[in-house]
Amino acid sequence: MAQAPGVNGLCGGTPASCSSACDRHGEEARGMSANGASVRVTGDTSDGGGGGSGETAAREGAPAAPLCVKCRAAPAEVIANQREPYCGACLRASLLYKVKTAINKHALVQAHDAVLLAFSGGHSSTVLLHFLSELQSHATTPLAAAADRGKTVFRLGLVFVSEAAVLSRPHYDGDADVERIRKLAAPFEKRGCRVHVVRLEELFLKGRSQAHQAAPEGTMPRGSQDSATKGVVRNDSGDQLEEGRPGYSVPHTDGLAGAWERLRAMVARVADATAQEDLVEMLRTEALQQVAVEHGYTKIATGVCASRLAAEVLTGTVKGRGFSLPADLQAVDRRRTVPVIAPLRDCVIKELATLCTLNRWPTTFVPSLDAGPTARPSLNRLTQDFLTLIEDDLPGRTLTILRTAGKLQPFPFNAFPALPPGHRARLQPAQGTEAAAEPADGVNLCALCRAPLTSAEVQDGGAGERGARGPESEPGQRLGADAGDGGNEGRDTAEQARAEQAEERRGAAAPAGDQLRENGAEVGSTGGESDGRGVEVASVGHEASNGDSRGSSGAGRGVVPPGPQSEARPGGVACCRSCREQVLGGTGGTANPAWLHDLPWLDRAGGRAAEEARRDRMRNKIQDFLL
Amino acid sequence: MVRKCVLCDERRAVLRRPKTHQQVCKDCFFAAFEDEVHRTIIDNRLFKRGDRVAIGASGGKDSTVLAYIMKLLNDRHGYGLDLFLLSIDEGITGYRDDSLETVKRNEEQYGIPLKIVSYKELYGWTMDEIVREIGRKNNCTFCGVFRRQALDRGAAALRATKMVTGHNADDVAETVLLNILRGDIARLSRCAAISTGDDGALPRSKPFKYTYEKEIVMYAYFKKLDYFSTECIYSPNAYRGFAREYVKDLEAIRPQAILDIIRSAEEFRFSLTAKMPEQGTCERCGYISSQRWCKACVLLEGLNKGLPQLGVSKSRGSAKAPSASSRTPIFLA
Repeated sequence: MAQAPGVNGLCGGTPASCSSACDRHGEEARGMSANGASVRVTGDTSDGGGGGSGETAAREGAPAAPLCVKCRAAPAEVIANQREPYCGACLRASLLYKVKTAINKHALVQAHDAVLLAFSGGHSSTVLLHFLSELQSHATTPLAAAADRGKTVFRLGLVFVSEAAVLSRPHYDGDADVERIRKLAAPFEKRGCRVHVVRLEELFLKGRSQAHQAAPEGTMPRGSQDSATKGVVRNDSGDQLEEGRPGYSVPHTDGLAGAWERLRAMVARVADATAQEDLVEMLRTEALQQVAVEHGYTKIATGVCASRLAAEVLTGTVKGRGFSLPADLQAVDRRRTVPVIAPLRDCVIKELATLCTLNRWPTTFVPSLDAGPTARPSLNRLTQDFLTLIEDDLPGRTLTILRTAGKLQPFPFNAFPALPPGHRARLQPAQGTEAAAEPADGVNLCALCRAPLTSAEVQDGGAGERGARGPESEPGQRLGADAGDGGNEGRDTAEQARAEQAEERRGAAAPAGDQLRENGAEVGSTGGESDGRGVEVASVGHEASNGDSRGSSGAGRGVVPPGPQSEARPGGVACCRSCREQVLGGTGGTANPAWLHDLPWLDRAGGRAAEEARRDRMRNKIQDFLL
Repeated sequence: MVRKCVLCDERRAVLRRPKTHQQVCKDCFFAAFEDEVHRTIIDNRLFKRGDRVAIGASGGKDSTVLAYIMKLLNDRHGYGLDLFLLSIDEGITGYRDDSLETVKRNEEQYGIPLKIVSYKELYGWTMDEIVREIGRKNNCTFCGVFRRQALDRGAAALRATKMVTGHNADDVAETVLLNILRGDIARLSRCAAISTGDDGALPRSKPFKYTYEKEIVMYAYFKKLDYFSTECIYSPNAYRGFAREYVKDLEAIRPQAILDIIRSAEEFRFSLTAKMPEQGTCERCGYISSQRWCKACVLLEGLNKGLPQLGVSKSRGSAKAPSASSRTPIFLA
């Protein structure tokens, strides 16, 4: 049934067929179907996206249709901005204006950038593909570029990351997905947009010594093996922009099979559905980085839109990521090697989907872990449903949520360094500024999800590092121990020690005497009795007490300056608490505390060679990929 | 095979702790529950020896368990606190009169003196009269605003130095989400604090901030505590209902989520440019207020002048009301 919205069906935003299938990030279809009533898309709704005749008929059938509030000429076709009737052309203009504004305001795309669009075939990335290619100038001389008003000379490519490997559907290879995506991308390919297809498991090929990858024959289902050979065919040939292949050969089937196994094993080890989705998201983000780095892209554009960001605000809150949340909500994210930009961040999904429908821009649905027939209930999914519910109740809530989140303080890496005055980003490439800027701007980041760490989290990581381990010790082990994999006893003592430390600190800070306090012995006994949970809660409590001053000073938990060890971090990685508890914590105890090693970007030994190659190639200064 | 308690490994497990999903026996559950509240009180230094603590008591499960456990911990750990029950009589026939009976029984059961303050004596209006005047819509605004002030007045009469309320972790998590949904930065930045008004005359705190609602219900059930469980007869807060359901759904998938929401709210860093209302005092009654008049005075003025919509309906843009802020404040029942 997943094939129903195929390339020809193209699910033109039809509520009936969409609600079941076309929601890559979950929000798209539901955004459509939920608001279907208010989106007066005449036409396609009745005949499943089939013909165009229905549209004109429906339009004529409604003679009382109000005029578009913007141009006051054409009849309105849709409701935009919650209540304003717009015609199709004006909707397009207003969305394009929002994108342009975002690009100019945050200098997202500059002259001679190479922009890699993360393309899923969904509504938002489809709109972004059309818009970016519209804003792209193909001028070859400065004079021609200046004449190309409103356009920028940049290189555009798109990448599709196939996550078929992590789906729990037997005999499902992503070949059909890839085919559909290729068809959607074909018209743009003709206009010079490069098309990359990468499988999520390929992450595990790169930066690994080839010896790792020999996997026993026949470990992979037949279908996937076939697809593996097909999937790696890339669209590299005959492109003059190719800057030389990176330091590995095109992976052969065996290698990919091994990678496939390892990816699946890693995801399977995380029991919690939400954490699984989060892990896949991290892997996808890194996969995008790898493609971008290999092919010399300078920016990665994602179709993250306002609706997605609103969901992100809630899921982030629900996962305890209040500190790092604003890092994920900005137009620019320079935490990784290649900056990530979100030009659609001011557009809501309903309008994007409507635009696709009105313009007959084909879209497709690719099943993923969190969307599609096999998706399990997760916090991400629940949040999506909740948002739909409250948006129904009172439209515009999405924007209120974003306004709230807009008051959260972003991090230094959420902007490009200021350009010199008078610099015209559209025409001139940035000089010097980018090289001068550190990707993470000295903020300590989580090794897994790259969330900025609170000072407490940095201390936790630091304390672990000071243990009696050599510089070449396994990062996974340390993290494993921290996550409580080392058994309850170790965890209890560690937690207690920390609680006691905190107690001491407080004791020193507080005026001695009249405050109710308890002696250390009692702390120990009660902690033991409640088997760590009591201590756990206590530590939550002490965190609250540490944050007491936050209300008044506001700067209590500022951005943590990098400690002396954080620059080198020999062998150790720090991890945010949410990852530790939610992703690592659910990996089944001591089964494999070192499974973290499978994370390609943490793999030091194997990664080094590829790392060097990358360094040479990148125009900008490259962040040490390993923190 | 009979399941043993995972904590003591002796007695039979009779319940699964909602917070941790551990199978535990009754005694271990009590111990863990009480210990967690004790840790919260100690770690956050909520009280000083000799404090006179007013316990906001409605007769419902949260405040009944709170009164019980405050008494228990005060005796067990020698906090040295003077405890008082403080109840508000909103004047809702069929609801509050019954729940007040519960509180009166609690007074005897726990030996904690009780003080009842009524809307009628403070404001000259009972909720029944207010509802008759303004209808069922928005009446929670009046009730919430009046209750907060009534609690403060009652505490002052008791010469209390601290006030505790039975807000539990679920309540706090809901409030965090609601404040995100309505874009109320000022409340969002303080709603997760375990105690507020620390520099004022009467700091208020929530010892159950990390305690799950389900555990409170279980505790009350197993301890056979006497509490009153009926929803208020006037409109239940539909909007909070959305958030409540969402939180419960989240909890079903990942119990830790409730604590994670609270942690998030604790760690939010708002940019300094975000506008925060300044706290001043009401020109009319001297109560704390961010406006010229406090909300209670605005509402009361409206009632007395026969303009009950004053201060309730959205007044942004056409601000006729004397300094009425357009937002409806959030107060927990």
